[in-house]
Amino acid sequence: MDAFPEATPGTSGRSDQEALKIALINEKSSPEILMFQEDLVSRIEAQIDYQEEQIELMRGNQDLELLRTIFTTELARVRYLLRCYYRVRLHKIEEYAMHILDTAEVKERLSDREDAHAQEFFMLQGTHLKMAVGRQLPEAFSSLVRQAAAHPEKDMVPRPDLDKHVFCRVLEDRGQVPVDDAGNTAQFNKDDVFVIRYQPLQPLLAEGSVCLL
Amino acid sequence: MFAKQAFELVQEVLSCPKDVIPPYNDEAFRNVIDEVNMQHERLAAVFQRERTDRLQEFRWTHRSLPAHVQNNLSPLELQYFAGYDQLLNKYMRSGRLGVGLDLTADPTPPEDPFVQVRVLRDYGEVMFSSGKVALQRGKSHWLPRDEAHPLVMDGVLEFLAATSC
Repeated sequence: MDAFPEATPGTSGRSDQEALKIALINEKSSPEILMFQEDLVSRIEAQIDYQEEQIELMRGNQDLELLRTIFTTELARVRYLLRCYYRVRLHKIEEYAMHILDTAEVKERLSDREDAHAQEFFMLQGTHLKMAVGRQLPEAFSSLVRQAAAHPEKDMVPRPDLDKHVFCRVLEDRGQVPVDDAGNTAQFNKDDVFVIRYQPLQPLLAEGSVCLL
Repeated sequence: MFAKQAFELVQEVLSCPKDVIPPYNDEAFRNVIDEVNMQHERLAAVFQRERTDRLQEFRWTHRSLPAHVQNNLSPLELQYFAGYDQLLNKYMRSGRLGVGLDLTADPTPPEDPFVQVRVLRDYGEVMFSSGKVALQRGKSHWLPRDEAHPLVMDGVLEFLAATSC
């Protein structure tokens, strides 16, 4: 055991793993794409690399077989969470590609890779639709966005339904919180659970005062 | 007249189960397109979009297109699938461009990291993190779950335990 004084990413990583789980569930339950958790994800990735090294070092040592199995199990769990996180985001990005690329404030929430994927995916889909439907749409994707954006109703652009109801748990006392446009408020105390329209939760979710369920 | 045809065209796709893509009805589609107005264009786009959504879904669940689906696609749609495949591969690749994880792998939460599988067809030797394994038809092995999953999707292996995938 002495050979692994630092081999406890489990303990130091516990909170990060927990945070990733919360980020994943938030992302799954929220109708719109949320801010990419860049710092958290790079810490998790570093922990995965480290844990892989440790498991590799234990290979062939019979005494450490159990520990190795435990480490492998933990690694598979973290990888699973990370894959889910990337996956659920990518699905939303593809579904709402035009809306996201068209809205600077939303586009900012993507990682660089997601941003690149969104643009290329939008090109792919746009080109396909153009050729398949045979309509004259402008070549460059930017003008494609602009044309779609210029359409007064934009009703052909799929966008997330921010009025959707979601379950949330309050993580810290926030006092009276506005819950609709009519000025109604609700008392948000730690550990309260609400079923509520998503929109008024947006700022609280970004600040980490609530998590979705 | 053609509006009815446009509507039926969309109905045709939507009425099929999600894992089926009906034959590409080029003639009906062209008829609809020739008669261009906003309404038709919208239905045409819905029709195309529903089909591309299903093509994407196949990339996530099967990795490649089963023959019975491939036969029902237009040349453009085959091209679309190839393009989407390329995009997704790039996003999942290691290095600067991708996240370095196969996002289509093992969509169920891991329980045991190892899983028992049976080999469905000869596949030669494969290097797993647990060691080298010769995949011979009919044999069963204990393999790391997330590494076995892609081969299950390809039809090389099947899970033996009652675990869903």
